[in-house]
Amino acid sequence: MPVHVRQFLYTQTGQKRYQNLYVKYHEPLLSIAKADKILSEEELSAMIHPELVEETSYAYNIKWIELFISLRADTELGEIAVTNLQNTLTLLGLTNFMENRLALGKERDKLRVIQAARVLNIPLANNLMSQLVNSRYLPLRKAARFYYILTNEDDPYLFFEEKETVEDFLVWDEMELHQLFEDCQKLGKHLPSFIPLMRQITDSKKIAFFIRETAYWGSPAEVHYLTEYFHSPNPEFRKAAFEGMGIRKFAESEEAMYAEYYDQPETLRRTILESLLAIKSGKAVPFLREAYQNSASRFTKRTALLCLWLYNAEGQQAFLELKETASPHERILFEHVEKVSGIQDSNYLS
Amino acid sequence: MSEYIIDFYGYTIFIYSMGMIVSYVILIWLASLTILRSKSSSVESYAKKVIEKSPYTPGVSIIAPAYNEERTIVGNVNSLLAQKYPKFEVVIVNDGSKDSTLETLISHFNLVEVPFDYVEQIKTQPFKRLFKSTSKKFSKLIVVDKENGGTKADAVNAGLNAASYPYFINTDVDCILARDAIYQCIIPVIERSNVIAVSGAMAMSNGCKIKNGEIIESLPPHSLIPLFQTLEYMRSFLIGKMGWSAINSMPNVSGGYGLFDRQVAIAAGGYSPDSFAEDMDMLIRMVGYCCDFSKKYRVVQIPATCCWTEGPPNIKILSRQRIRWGRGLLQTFHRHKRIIFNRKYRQLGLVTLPYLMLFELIAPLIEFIGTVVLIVLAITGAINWNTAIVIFLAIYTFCTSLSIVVIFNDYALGGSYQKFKSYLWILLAALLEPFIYHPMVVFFSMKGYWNYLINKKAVWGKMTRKGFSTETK
Repeated sequence: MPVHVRQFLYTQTGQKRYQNLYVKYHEPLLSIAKADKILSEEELSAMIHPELVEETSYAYNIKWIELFISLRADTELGEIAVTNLQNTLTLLGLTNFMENRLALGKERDKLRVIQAARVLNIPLANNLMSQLVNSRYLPLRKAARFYYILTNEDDPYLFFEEKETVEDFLVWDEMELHQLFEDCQKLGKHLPSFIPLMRQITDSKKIAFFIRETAYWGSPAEVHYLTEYFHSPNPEFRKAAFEGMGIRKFAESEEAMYAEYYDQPETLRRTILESLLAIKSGKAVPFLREAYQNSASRFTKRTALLCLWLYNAEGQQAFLELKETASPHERILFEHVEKVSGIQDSNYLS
Repeated sequence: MSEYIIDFYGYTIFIYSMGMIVSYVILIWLASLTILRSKSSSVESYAKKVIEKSPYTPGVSIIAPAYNEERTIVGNVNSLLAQKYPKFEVVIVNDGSKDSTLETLISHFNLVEVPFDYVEQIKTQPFKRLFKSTSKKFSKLIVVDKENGGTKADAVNAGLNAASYPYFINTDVDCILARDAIYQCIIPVIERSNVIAVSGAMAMSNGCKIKNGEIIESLPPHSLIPLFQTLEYMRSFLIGKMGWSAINSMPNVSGGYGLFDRQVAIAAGGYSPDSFAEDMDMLIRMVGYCCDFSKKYRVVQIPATCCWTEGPPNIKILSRQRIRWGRGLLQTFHRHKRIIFNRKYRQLGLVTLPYLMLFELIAPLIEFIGTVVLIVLAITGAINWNTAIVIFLAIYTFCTSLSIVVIFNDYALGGSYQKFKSYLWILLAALLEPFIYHPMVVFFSMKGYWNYLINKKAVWGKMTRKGFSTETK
């Protein structure tokens, strides 16, 4: 119970400190982050008044770090914003504090430092980070490894290649990595291709994830490579590859998807249809029509009809022609698509 | 001979009581562990931003059955639609309301009937119509109109059939959800693997100040019956469920608020329309399904208060609720007896259900017998009053201490009430509960068992609600 009481006291006072900082400094820091030019030290001092900042204790400094992390939620990362925030950290003496905590701090403090460094693109000492990438504290180990991707130019995916992974690859990991890759792109940092990594790792969840991420961030040649996964025996990879074509609107893949369509289970057939809709090359109407006519699944028929209806004028014409010859049992599908899609239904496709 | 019987009885009760006390201490410790571990490793505002933007964010369907809720339905639905989460829908199931619930929804939310290819993955009473709004502001709202199924379970199943997203929240339409309730419950799903259900803490809305379907000030009720229930809820969520969650042994995710994996729920057969404890029955079947097919699973209790519900305000309505719960508990144990002590069902079969059978199902019987024996012994002058008083004080002190721990946990978590003095009311409830509330609940539970045993016809009574009409002006 003493642990619990200590934790309670820590949490309560910590929350108060954070609130205190938020109320006083969030707006000035937001203004700094949203500035349209790199601000000089004098300009930053005029906005933040570091000489008047009273909250400089160790306990407050950790909350400063959290405040900077939360700023990330309110700003779009660009080179100017990142530079201004980095300079503000230095002005407030927090850069030295971060290095100190990284070397000597508790695990949760180190975690916060790495999170701040990652979201604000702050360089941290390699010798310290090299110890943390194998930390026994799982969140710290993951944070350090994700940070490694951001900073290592030689082999950023080193830790994904490990044959033994103790921890699961979670949805949150996917979300954080996706955000990290997006931030890299915005900062103009070129990340090596995921393809060699995908060939090397064995975890199917990770491979499927990197297939999708290649679709988001890869070059056209890399996206073209993903069509190899259309023939994969693993349905997760096929699903990710088909989805990737829709994400990237990769029209060159359409013929290959037509060829694979009838070899897929119904769930993957629907994925292909949705990707064809996302691509909207203008050439898929005959295929979508055929997909409706040849499907035995009501869900797939519904998806095919929706794709036709939302595709283009030709697709709507095909839809109406099919409706005229539809059996009474299938009429409801047409009415469903016509009416529901006319009412903004962004979550329809399922 | 009678002495031996009395001695045997005395020792049995002593061992039973000590077992219960020790188990509560263990649950308190486990609950503390869960609370400590539940803190997310990310700064909340940053995590929310990532979730808001990410294409990997899982969608959630909020399913809320509605039956004769014309007075409060608009405020309730607006409250559900106000969730701060990027990918969700609200599925209101109008379960054959006899009043103007549906008409009120149609007129306020600009609903039109849309043809819908309703695929019955779970059998329900006949589906009639589906409505969607022509207004973009209410684009997340779906209203399913169906024939009355007599139970909430049937309505929720219809919602499951109509829902689109991989996760769903089962709640009552008159519950007030915290604005970030979905966010709080989705965090364990994305930060851990194989999570099939998440239970958010619930609190009583009786006594709270409500405006526009949102709790603006959380206050404890000042009348006794809801006040006792407030303490009971706190104890159940912050000790019982938090403790079980630490060892992945939760027996129940409340029907008032819980997030579930839709695919697993459908595979387990959906909610059982003839169950009187459909929430406990559902979770046991979901866990049973995972164990039967060797799937990993995790059921999590989070300490955040996600939902406020109006509890029975008087003894009459409380009695109906608790008799039904008692009946449901016995029914659930009877239905799932194959799981008890069955190794195949892991913690649920080997730990939780045997524990609940011993310390929850049988407890009212033991207490009732104990009370009768006490009275008989008192009349015959066979009680050592000094010892009896000492034992009574010891048990009473333990119960009160347990309640103090619960109150402390709730306050420490920044839970139900902002003002510390609000907790003094809960403390009052803790002091009076053993004398007033607890004997009532024991009696109602036993009545529920009796009704189950004699297969008495059940009638779902009307829960009189004040709802959002008591909103603060």
